[in-house]
Amino acid sequence: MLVSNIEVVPGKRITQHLGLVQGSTVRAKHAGKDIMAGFKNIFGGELTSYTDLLQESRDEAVQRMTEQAQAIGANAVINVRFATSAIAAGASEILAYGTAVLLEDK
Amino acid sequence: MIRLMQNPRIPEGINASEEHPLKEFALLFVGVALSLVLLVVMLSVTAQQLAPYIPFRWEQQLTQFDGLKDAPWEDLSTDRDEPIAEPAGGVTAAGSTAADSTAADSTTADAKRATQAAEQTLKQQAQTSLQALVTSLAVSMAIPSEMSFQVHLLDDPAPNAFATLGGHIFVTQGLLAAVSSENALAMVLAHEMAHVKFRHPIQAMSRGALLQLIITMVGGGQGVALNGVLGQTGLLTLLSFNRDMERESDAAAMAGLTQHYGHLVGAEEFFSEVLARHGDAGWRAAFETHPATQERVDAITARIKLMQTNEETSQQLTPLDAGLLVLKAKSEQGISLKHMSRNRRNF
Amino acid sequence: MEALIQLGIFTFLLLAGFVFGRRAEKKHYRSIFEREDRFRHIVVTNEKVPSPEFIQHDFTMVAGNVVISVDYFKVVSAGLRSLVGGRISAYESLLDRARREALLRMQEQAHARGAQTVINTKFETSRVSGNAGQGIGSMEVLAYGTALIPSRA
Repeated sequence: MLVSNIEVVPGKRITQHLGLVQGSTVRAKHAGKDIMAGFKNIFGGELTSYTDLLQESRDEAVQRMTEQAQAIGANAVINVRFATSAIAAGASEILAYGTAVLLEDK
Repeated sequence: MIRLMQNPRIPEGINASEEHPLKEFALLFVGVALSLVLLVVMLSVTAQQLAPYIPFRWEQQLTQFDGLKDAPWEDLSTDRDEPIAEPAGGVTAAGSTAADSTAADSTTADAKRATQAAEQTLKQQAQTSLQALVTSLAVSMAIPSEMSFQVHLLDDPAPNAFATLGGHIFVTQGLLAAVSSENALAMVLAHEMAHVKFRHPIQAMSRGALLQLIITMVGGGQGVALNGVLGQTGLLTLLSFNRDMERESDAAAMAGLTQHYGHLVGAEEFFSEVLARHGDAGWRAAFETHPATQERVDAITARIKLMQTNEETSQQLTPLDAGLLVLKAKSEQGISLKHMSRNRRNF
Repeated sequence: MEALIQLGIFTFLLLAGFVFGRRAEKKHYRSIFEREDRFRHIVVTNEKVPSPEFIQHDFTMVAGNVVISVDYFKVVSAGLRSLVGGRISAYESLLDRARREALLRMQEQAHARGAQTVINTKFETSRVSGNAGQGIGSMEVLAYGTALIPSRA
């Protein structure tokens, strides 16, 4: 499954558009990491636990998006975009959306 | 011909889980509640172990007051009492002169001050009697020498007694009205003294503060709802520890009374009266800070029975001290028994 | 005694939140399924460049937005989950509903203008806070794009 955020894939042509597919996930890190992050807010530096959290969320969101694309018979998702929003302290939502298409060699 | 653009239906369950929300909730709730109960138990045991290491001197210094006027509580120096006689200066006949009414006012003002002064003296006497009783009980209860008690009489018609940091014991006038012998009063006083002896006030305070701190640190960002959940679970566990403390104090009080009077007759009077008036807590006992009243009465009567089979010493009830009796009579005039509050029982 | 009352109030709110929240969610999902089928002919994509067949079309911007609120059960559930870590499925279903509703409203608007397709779709999500600034009160999702309308000529 090809996933990319470009519009025109070189060397391939689109034979069908199958509409918008989305993948989203809401995740939270557990309380211990929250407390450590609280301390880090005083001393500065990278919040590695939150970096990991958001990375996991993004991976999962993309995976769900491709799952939707596969379910409707597409073989590529183009024009992928991300949207992040904070839901509550320590929890965030990642949305990945793109257009599911059927690609064929030119 | 296939349309270039299509919009097939996407199956459910990818972005939103189809699992029943109650299942997940139940799992989470049980897990969190169990770990919180464990935390509170550990905290209480630690507080119990560490409390003896906090010197009693520190408690006393914290709660020391130079004279009663610095005290944060209303005490003998309160002027809240209503005089027994109503001032007659309010209603004047049509033909009275101004001079007449001023003279009448000043006499009633004098009468008011005199009544108040008399009441103050009564209370002073009562307080002295209470302090003497506490001091003699302290000998029988083998209180360590560095602990001292200060008794304060509160102007409250509800029967109540409690002990705070530094050995301060508070007794209300309502409690005096509710007991008919020194034995019953001594039971309540000895119970409070036992709390101080076992350092329960400082344990409870430090436990409460630590738990609050932990809950705020862990749950703070998530809003009020989560704090509510954690608070409830923590509270229920704390309450069961409280009840154990109360039972311990009851046992020590009974031992002290036996040492002091030679018998326990009359000790359960106060509790029996509360039971008769308010009934038993039953299943609600799990949510109360004290053990069920019936349980406490039963414990005392069982002890009495045990002792009656062993000794035949005189089992006379000791009457209340003179100073207390006068105040009791006076307050019984003014307080009707239906004012007794049914909720806060802190003895 | 107060402990019992507090616990009672908490349980009551939780139960009320669960019963009514679940009912509202089920009803909403049913409406979403029905309308998605009705508007299936309006294809939504997020491409910037339309297919050649749409070159002669008129275009107009269309948008759809919705604000959906949480219920007490979701809040407590999410709070517990954030202690332990992992996916908060209570909020996931909330956001899924909100997004699909926003898309549907955008499609409805496009349909009202006689469009065949909507391109360059984008999403904007924001939260409206409740509980005096802490925690989530409701989520707002905006979906907007360019609708292509076949010209009369």
